[in-house]
Amino acid sequence: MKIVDKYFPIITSIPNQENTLLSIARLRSFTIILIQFLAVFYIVQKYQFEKSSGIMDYTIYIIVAFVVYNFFQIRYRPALLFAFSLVILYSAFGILAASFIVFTGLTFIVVCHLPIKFNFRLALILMGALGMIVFRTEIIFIPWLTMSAMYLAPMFMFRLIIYLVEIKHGLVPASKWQSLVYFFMFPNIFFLFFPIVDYKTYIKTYHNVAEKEIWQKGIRWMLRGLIHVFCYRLLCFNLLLEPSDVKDISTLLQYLVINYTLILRISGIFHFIVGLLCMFGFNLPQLFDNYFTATSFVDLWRRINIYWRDFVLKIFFYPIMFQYKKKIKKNLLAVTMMTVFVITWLLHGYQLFWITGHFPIKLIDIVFWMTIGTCITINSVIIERKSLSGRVEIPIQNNLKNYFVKIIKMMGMLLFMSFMWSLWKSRTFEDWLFLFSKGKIVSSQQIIVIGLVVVLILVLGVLIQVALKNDKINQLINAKAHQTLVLCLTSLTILVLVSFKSISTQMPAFVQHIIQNMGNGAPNLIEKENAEIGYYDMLIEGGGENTIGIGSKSFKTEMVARPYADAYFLTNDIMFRRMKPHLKIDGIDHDFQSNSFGIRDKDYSIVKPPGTYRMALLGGSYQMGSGVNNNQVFEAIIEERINKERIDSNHKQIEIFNFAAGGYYLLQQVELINTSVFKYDMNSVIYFAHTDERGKIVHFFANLIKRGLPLKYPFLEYVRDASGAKSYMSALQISELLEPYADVIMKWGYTEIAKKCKENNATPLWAFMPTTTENVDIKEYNELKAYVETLGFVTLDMRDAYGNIDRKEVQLSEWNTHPNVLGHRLIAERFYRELMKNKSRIFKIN
Amino acid sequence: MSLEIDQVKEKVKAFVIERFLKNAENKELTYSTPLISGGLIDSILTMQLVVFLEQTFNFEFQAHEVDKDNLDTIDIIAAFVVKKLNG
Repeated sequence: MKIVDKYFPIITSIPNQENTLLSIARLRSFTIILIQFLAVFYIVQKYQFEKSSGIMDYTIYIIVAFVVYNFFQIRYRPALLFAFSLVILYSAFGILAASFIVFTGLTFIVVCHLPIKFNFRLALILMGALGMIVFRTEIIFIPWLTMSAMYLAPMFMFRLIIYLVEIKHGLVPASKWQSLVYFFMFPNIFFLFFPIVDYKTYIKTYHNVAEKEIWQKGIRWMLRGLIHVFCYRLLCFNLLLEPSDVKDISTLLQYLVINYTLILRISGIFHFIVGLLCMFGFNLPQLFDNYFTATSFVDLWRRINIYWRDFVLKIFFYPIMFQYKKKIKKNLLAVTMMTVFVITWLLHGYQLFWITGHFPIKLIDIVFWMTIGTCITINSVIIERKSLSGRVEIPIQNNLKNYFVKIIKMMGMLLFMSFMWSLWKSRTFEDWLFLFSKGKIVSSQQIIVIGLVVVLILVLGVLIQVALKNDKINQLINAKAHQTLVLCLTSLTILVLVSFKSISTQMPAFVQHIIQNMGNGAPNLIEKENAEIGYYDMLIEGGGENTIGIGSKSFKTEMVARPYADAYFLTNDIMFRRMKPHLKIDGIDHDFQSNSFGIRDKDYSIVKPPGTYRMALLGGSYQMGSGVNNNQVFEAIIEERINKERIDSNHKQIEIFNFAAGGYYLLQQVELINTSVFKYDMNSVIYFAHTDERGKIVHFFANLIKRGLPLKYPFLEYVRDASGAKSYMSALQISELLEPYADVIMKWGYTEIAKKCKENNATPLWAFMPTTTENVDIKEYNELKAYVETLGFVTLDMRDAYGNIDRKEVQLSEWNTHPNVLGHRLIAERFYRELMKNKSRIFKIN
Repeated sequence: MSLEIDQVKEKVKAFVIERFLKNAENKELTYSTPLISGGLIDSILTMQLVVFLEQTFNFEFQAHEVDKDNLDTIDIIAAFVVKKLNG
């Protein structure tokens, strides 16, 4: 018994419930909670809540853990929860990566408790962190280690700071197991981007009230999280605009406000996480407090991400204030606040670094944080001065004037934050300024409409405030956790019922549309595009070339994308980047090799062997075979098959050179054909086109101009000058200026390829193949096909390359939609048929 | 310095009403009214309360002591002050 007690110490301050675990009253409460919990996870599955996090795959684990956990005696529960976290870790990441995460994590915790001076412990931890930085920045690149560092960091990057501060001040952890579960919080495995949970709060709120109250609060918060995410989806699918959609003041306002309201996804995820922790007895406090209703800068700071604010206050604000209160007599608050906001900016970069591997020092981030910091500081200083002079005003009079003032203030804050948010989401200042330059008033009608919307919001806001003064409504809103059972049950029942098609199809069309949007887990295309830009989007979706994703499920996805990051070197010319020669990268899921020519293919001789037919393949990441082994790329499959079947009786063998590379578009293909392709004596050249050829060309051309790279070709220089595009302009503005020239640029590119083929007596081929996410635009296809045929191209119709197979079946994953092995096989099959159909023109045989 | 806990409570209550609730209609403040967790005072006003406590009762706060555990209600504040004064 003593041994057991040593490892499972009785946690003080927790009511002893050992004798009541199986009481009728408890079983009744638990059953009601379990029904709701099952309903929540049914909704998670049915509505695809944060599918990429992987939480959907672990629903059964979580439900079983919840049941088992709550029937264990309280003293054993932290150990059980830790064991559960380990099960998920090993199941999600495999033995190697999970063992590394667990071992490193445990080492960090042990170091915190070593019987040596605090500063030595701190030094050891910093050394450990440095080791993680080496892996995360890929100075030493071992794929699973880099990824393990990425998943370990969100568990430790802030919690370790808080934990060390508590230890420094002599606050001994409650128990070893509670410390372990504090760091290894299992929802963190699904959600890298996680609220900063305070250690003391985590421990103190553990079973601090009746468990049925904590459970019900957990259900309510998870439900709230789901509803936030559903609202986010509705906004995303129906009202979200792209920067290029901004044409006037109305669309500008829509763009600004809707983009800011997308913060609902973050609050939704955070509510869900904290709710889930409540189900395991952690009665954590409120995380957000109606941040859209903030009426001042300080009020916003109080309401938005409360855990973050508390962390900053505890770790930085109060210590700085105490450090300098005797030294700085004047403006101490202002100095401290501004220092805290500089730290906040750095901490956001720190967080982004661990998740994405880059520490971005961007002027936009600095301006964003310093502007918000300055506003909150000024507001705080005013409050301080008023309070010191005894002029604190608490407007509690319930009259219409106050209601109106409050709504106007709320609208002002919403607009201010939307304005700042749009800056934060912009790639560059130029983009942001260009966006505003487009927001002009085009008619008096617009002013009237905007005025009417403002009046409508004012009236509605006042009515809501009047309603809130009603005792019954107020009681309902401020009801205690255990009083919200009926509300939760009703909401869950509705959500479960409408998820059945037989029921939802009976609803009016607009309701069906809403339900469909709510259940659509696939992100809106615009949102996905924006994911590369905004800070929170970067954290949630990942940024740059890699789709990091939210959680465990993305681990493998990242591994798939990973080999390509080091596969290229940047060039200061129209190619933008080229593949490194002699590459041999062993990824976890697949390998990647390039030959001595710097293309992803096997080695060929420079001089064409006698009796050999050579074909050059031009394309992007699809043709390069992103995510599959070299020998699984459709180009390799087709080359092997043609040689095996000896379909070309004129030649002994065929060699297909795969010049495709990720991020290559038509302009780069023109450069390739002019500089590289015909060094190898090609018999034919095949160019692969996808949907929206023009859009892709414009996007790439705009990037070239923006970066000020030499365009080399007089025609491109002419287009640049004629369009008026300049490198100092925003990429968005350049794209808009180039758009009228899209068709002529594309035609020039095709003409160049055809011309060069003719000069070298090679056959030009043009294949049209949609990506796994695109639907073919018949009009575009017909136009392009007709045009290339006039240039002498042999056209290959690969519009149905994936046949009738569900597109998801041919994608690497939800977040990496490149074709998988099956996809490449299907493409190869279709390619083969098209080659056979046109063999007389391609191989000059009958 | 020997100080009765009730005296501390009275002084703190008077300060809170005078400084933070001066213009409020509802000045009902009990010893158990949550000041920080109830949103009555925020970080800025908390610092003023800390300065008041330091000056009135002649002791020094440590930065990590500024939290809900020591300052959330007048009851808690008084207990903390007495504990500090008694060393």
